[in-house]
Amino acid sequence: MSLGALIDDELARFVRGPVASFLATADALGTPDAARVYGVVAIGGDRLRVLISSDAETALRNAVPGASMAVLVTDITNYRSVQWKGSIVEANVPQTPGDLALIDEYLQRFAAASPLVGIPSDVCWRMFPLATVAVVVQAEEMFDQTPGPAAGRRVEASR
Amino acid sequence: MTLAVDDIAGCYEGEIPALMCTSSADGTPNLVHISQVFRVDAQHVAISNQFLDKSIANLHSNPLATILCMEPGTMDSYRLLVRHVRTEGEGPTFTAVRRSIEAIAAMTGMSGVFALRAVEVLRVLHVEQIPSRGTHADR
Repeated sequence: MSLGALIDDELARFVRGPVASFLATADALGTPDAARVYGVVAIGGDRLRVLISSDAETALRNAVPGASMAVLVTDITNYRSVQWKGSIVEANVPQTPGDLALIDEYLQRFAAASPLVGIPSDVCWRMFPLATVAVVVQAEEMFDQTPGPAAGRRVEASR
Repeated sequence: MTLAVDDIAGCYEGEIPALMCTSSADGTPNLVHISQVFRVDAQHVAISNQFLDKSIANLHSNPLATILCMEPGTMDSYRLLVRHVRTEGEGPTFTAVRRSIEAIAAMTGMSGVFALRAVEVLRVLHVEQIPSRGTHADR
């Protein structure tokens, strides 16, 4: 368990975009699953609220409180990537008006930056789901996942 | 919607990085971007191993993985459940992957940085399209 903040103010801004984000879970047999995330917001220094599709049936089955999870967030303009590992706190939280605003912000930031990586802005909406649910996760470890020789390096909490 | 390996040809072009999720022996999941998914045959795909230490260690203890990939023209996403079957350090698949990696590195000014260690060959157990606003609009 962290003694400091794994998600400081700079990282709290980083996760708001323009990013691509994913939630990883596994079932009781260890079968891994990944679900795309459509909005991330930091809650305090060690929790994230992530929005996944309400159609992400496998992730929602796996995401029981206490289950292991990983969240990967990547800046699409420079591939800076951070991975948090920890556990599920709460899952299948119904979509709120605030979530809708967060999804829209996430989409607009993604679409504004996407031409830099060869993706036309006007198709980005297509990858978003019709509805989301929220999953709250507890971050217990943090890793620099930026592609390159240092990928996977554990990063200590800021004090 | 359940699909076959050859139904998602656009995902093998490497325009949008894919994502792979593995799980360690104790069930801790791990996520990593992969630059490209390569079609090997109608039942297998391959990924390049450049900086995948944790993922490869996971695959050796638990050979199952999930890959998310995307068709660049439509932004349609697909989920592949795969099982690691072998590592190749030479041969036609390795050569083809190395050429592609070197071409991408040359275009991005990163020649020599992303040297190919090996190719990981994965048997595809299931392919499904992920529902989205786009797939809904196409109905």
